[in-house]
Amino acid sequence: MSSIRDTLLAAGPQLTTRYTLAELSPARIGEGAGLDERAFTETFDSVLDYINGLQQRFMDGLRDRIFKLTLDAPPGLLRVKLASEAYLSGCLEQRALRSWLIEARAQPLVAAGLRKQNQVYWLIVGSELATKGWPHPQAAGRLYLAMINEASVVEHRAGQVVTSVREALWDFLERGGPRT
Amino acid sequence: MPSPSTASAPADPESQRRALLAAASRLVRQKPAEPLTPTRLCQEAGVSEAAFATNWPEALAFERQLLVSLLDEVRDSVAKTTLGMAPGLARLKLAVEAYLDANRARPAVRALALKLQADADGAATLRSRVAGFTLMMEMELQAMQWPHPAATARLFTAAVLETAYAEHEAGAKVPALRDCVFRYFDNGRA
Repeated sequence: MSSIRDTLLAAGPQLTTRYTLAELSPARIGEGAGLDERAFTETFDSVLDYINGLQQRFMDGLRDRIFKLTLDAPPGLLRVKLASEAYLSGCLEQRALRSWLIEARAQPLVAAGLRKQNQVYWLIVGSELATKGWPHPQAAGRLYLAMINEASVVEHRAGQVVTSVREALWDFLERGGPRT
Repeated sequence: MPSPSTASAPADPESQRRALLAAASRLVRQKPAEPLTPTRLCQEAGVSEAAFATNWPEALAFERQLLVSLLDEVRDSVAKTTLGMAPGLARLKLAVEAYLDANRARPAVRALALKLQADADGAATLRSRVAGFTLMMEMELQAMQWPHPAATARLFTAAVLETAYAEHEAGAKVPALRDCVFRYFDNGRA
C-alpha cells in the first residue's frame, strides 16, 4: 500500500498536463491525487517542497534506468556514454514534468536538492574517468555533469535529440582526458 | 558615525546613481564580507542618505542594477584582457581565465546571481550575459574550426559557469577545474 506522500508524488506527471508551475497549489495537488488539501499540507511544507520531492523521484527513476542499462558494461567511457544516453532520453520522455523542474531550479530549495544529487553523479562519473587515467577525474566529472545538464536543457527546448550537442559531449569524453 | 561628505557631492539623481553604483562596486570588491547598507554606500559615494531611496525605492531594484553593473565590469575585463589578440585557442583560454578571475574578484556577482535568479528581471539579465559569453566562445571555436562550435560553446559555457560557482564556494581558484576546461582544447584535433 502506497503512502500519502507516494500518492501525492505519483500525481505529479498527470498534473503537469493541467497546470503550469505557477498555477500549482496545495488544493490542486491534493485534488489531483484524489485526496484533499489537508493531506498535502500534512505531508509537504510547501509547493516547492513537493517539487523537490518530484525532482528526487524523477532522479531516482533515472538512476534505476541508468543502472539497468549499464549493469553489464565494463567501467570506462562507453559506460559513461551509455549512462548519458539513458539520462538524456529519460529527460526527454518526461518533458512536461521537466518543464516544471527546470523552471523550479531558480528556487534555492530546489537548486540545492539538485546540486546534492549532481554531486553523487559527478563522483560516479569521476570514478569512471579515473579508470581511464584522467587527471583530476572528480573535477572532470563535475564539469561533465554541468555539461550534460545543459545538454538536457537544449534537448528539452528542442523537444528532441540534438545530435550536435550529444556529439560535443562524446567529443569531450574522447578528448578531454590525458594529453594525447 | 561620520556624516556624509557633501562638499563635492553630485546633486542630480543620475550622477548620484552613478556615484552610488561605483561606490558599491568598490565596496563589494574591497570589503566583500561587510554588508552593503544604504548608509555605508552613501558615505562611500559622498552623497546624502536620501539619495539612495530617491534612486532605488526598493532594495531589489538596487540589487538588479548592481548585478548589471558588476557583470558589465566582468565583460569589460575580458574584453580588455583579450584586446588586439587574434581569435583562436590563446584568446579563448585568456578570455576564460579573465572571466573566472573577474568573477572571483567580485564574489557579489555570484551571490547576487543566486539571489536574483528567481526574479524575472534578474533572470533575464543573467540569461543575456550567459548568451553573450556563449556567443563569444562560439566565435573562437569557429575560428579554430572546431566541430559543432555552437553546441560545444553552449556546453563549455556551462562548464565555465560551474567552475565560477565552485571558485565562489571555495573562495579561491580551483586549478583542477580550470585545467579540465583547458585540457580538452589543448588536446586539439588530431
